[in-house]
Amino acid sequence: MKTKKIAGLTILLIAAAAAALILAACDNSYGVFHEIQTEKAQVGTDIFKNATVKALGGDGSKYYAIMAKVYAKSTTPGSVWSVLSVSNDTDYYCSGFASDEAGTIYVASSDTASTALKGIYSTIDSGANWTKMDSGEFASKIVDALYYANGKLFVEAHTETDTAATYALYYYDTVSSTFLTAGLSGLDLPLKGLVWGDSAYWTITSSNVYTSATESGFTSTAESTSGTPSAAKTLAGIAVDSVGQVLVTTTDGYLYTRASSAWTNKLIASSVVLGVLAEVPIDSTPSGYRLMMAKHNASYGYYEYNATTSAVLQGNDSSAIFVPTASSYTTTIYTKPVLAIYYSATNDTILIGMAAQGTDTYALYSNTYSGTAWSGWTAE
Amino acid sequence: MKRKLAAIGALILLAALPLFGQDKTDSQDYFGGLHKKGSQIISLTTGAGVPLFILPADALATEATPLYVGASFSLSYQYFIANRFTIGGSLTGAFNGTVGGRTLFVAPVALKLGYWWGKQPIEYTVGMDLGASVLRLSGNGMITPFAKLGGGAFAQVSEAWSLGGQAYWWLIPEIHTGTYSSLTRYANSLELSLGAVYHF
Repeated sequence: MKTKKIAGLTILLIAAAAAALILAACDNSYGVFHEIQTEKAQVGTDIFKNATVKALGGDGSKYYAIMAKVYAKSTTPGSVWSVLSVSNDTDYYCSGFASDEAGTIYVASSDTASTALKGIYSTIDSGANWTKMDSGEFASKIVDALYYANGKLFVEAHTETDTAATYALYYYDTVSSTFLTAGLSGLDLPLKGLVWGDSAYWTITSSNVYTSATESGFTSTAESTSGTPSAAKTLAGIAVDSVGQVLVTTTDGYLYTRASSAWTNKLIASSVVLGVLAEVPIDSTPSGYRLMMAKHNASYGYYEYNATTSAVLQGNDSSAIFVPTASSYTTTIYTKPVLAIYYSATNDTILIGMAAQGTDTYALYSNTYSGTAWSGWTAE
Repeated sequence: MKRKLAAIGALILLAALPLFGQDKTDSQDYFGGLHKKGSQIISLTTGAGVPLFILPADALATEATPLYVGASFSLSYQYFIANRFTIGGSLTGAFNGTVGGRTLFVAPVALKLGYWWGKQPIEYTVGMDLGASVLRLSGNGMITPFAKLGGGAFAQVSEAWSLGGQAYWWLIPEIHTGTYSSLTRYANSLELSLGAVYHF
């Protein structure tokens, strides 16, 4: 009898716990069928399905999405994406891409099998004509990335031994028309970006910040002024905003800002890994800006950060600027790591590139400001 | 709208079909005694969940039919509290894909009321389920009221077993309160399923 009573009580307790759990899972602010009603079927280009877009860019007349090769599309509505031929070659691996945002793009083209550099090329007419810029400087190196900042093109390259890789930074000297060392070499970690802000060049690895007032003046001594993201942090992304402040994200949820020769920091979200970031105007005026910051906690996607009010919003928040409906974010970006964010001022369009492998969805979405509101994310 | 009206019409016809199957000669037999007071039924059904419409329409909606046809599975128990009249319960699970690539999961738990009749070997039922349903989408969820109304026809294949099909109209009122009352929606769908009925 006693056993039956205990069993009955146990069942009652389990049922109560289950009911409590179910009730706790309810969210009065989340309209399940409202979400479904506002969903939009995403039909993008097969090129970007289950793919990874690692970088983005534009030159005013074309958008560029970098995967193994560079894919290009005219900004004219209705245009389609296709492989960009680099100096009459489509059998290449894109090991670096940069844009000066003034009509010139730069592509590091490498051999698909050996990774040996075929050449670093520039074009001022969206790929119709190409100029080879290197002359054998990277013959014994592997080019990893191109960066453009403050009128200078930089090249990150590494050398490999059986046990380690060593990274170094170079810049293009327009006087000698050759690539010269930027002074940063012997790094055991790759760079994650390079910007010009607060009157200096800035670059980061995952553990250090490096700076130089000139393109050739870097040293391998990491920045150590007060407030610099410490070695205890893992640095994730670097960008510069519209007033020239340098912004660095960390994998423990912090945003560091360098302005007026001093660093400040703000916790954006605890226990959240931040990633790449970009400042995007909230309209075409622009009457304000938001920092879009890639994030990874229980899901992926991005935050919208208002630096003026310090408000941090999830991409699908009801107050979020860049989506008209929460489902516009949840069905497109929410589940995928954001790797690149690009804003085209000419076309009031944001491109966002992600790692979509295994998701059976797309790696590239666009979002255009119509004059009154953002369209929401649409698969490219 | 035409699609919705056609679906409503089809459901009414389907649900009403068993009524035409009533036979006076069954009045004392109660389907070989299987529909008599004290009998019991366990039924298992599986089939398609056809989304019909969601009310009210959303001003931001871009797709006419944001849900795809899905699948449902149901287990129910019924006890004849009087000749032909049953009361019982049902556990159901249903999935529908959305145009945005997500999956809506619906899990209703309901009280079941039924009316059974027929002349061997065909038996008919009409019934109604009333209860609550768990809705899950992208890790978010709600518990909502739930109702379904419909009927079915089953052919007796042995002393205890019958096989057949059924059609039920599902109504899921997703009620939100306070400042979120604008999120309230009424989802309607049609269950078309095949099933087995065990009498004991």
